[in-house]
Amino acid sequence: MRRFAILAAGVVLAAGSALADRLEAQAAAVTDAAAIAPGQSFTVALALTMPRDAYVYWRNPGDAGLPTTIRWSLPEGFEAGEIEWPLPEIFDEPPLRSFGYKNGVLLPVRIQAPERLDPENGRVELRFRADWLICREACVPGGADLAVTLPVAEAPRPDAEGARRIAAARAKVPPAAEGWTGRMEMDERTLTLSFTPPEDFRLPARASVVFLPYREGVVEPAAAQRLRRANAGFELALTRDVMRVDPGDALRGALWIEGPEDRIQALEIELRRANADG
Amino acid sequence: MKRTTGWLAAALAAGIAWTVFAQQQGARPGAEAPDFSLRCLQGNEHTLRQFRGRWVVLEWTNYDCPFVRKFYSGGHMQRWQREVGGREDSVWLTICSSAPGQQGHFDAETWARRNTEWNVAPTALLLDPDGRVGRAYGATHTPHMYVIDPEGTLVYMGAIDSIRSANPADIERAENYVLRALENARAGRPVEPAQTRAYGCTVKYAN
Repeated sequence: MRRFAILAAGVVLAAGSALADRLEAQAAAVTDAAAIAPGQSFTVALALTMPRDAYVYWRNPGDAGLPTTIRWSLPEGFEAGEIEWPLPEIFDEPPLRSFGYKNGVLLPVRIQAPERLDPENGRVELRFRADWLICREACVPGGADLAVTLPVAEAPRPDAEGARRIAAARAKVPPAAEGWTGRMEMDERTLTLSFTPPEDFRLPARASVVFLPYREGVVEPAAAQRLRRANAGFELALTRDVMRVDPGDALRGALWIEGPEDRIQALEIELRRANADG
Repeated sequence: MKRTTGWLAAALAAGIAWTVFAQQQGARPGAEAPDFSLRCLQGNEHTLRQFRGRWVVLEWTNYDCPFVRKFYSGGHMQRWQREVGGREDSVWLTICSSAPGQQGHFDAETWARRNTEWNVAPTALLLDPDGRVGRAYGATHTPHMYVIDPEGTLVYMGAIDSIRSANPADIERAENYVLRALENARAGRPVEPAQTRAYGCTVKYAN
């Protein structure tokens, strides 16, 4: 019955209804574990499926929208990591630019089980609250209370289908920029980022390079980022946001490099502050 | 990674468009607020100039935007409209720039019904269906707020408050930038911040 209701909603949306009230995401909890063991880590992910061309936002939504959030209610001793955010799409709607996921997304979170784990009935329940803003021309807030219940065993057992879906999402998460160093300098208007890649890295001749900070309010999302090649690497000059949010000692974000033939490379990098003023 | 073709071209175009937009928009704190002439629901013409000598709050709206509903569902916006509009020395103008066929664009009957349902109380509700005034002010979001002093100088533009959410429970915890700007400017104190990043839905201008 429930499955039927979801299908029916999909048909209505496919028919082209623009009614904001029907703009809904279906949320599900996905896990890569069929059974967990004490002291082991595993993954629980929020899977959002949505009508065609609908989207939700990245951790830094940009000029519009709100990030999707997850709030955990875990049994004692369990610890949840950060959301591992796949690289978003860039939505340009001049003069605005925002970042998000069209047509669905899966957001993995690593969970660490405690060393001592002996539940009475042999199962643990991991609950979380997810909230998002789903948009397609108009926007509607959505939310769901989700849970996964897993048996506790001597040795962990994987859930193959869940593991496959989570691995596919993780493949899109920008990997840490191994061997890179990054520094930032800031004055009143500009944030200048210096990147020093490892020796074997070559920046393509006509590369388009953009840095997307994880934090909102640090730079103007839609402002052009000026690339300057330097001896050991390259620099990007970013326009500071009107909010003038001070990133503090370090700024984390995704470095997006688009080379010839539309090949995109994305890396996660942390830039350390070089000057103290500004 | 999924992406549209010609991304670089799009990025450059967006950057240029943004720059042009930023230069063209007349509204910035410390400068004279662009004058306008707009019809209200009753069909009367209102100009900014006619309110010289009074403080003016401009509120960009779209009643079907969840971020706008955040402030109306619990009566907050209406209370602020009554507080500001109820004083001799200030007015509150609500402006809708939703284009025909876009979200938040209503016929007269729907406007009347929605206004009654929410018991709204701006000094006037002004319609800007061609978006000219919205663009002149650089209004990008609903709600997007502006405060203008009695001499016609813009003293604040941007977000309504400090917590960027669609959840009404956040209103009481947030710092209301508009009311604080009005209070500080009235008392002759500097308005800080004078500009913030607006949050909410995008203004539904004509495509």
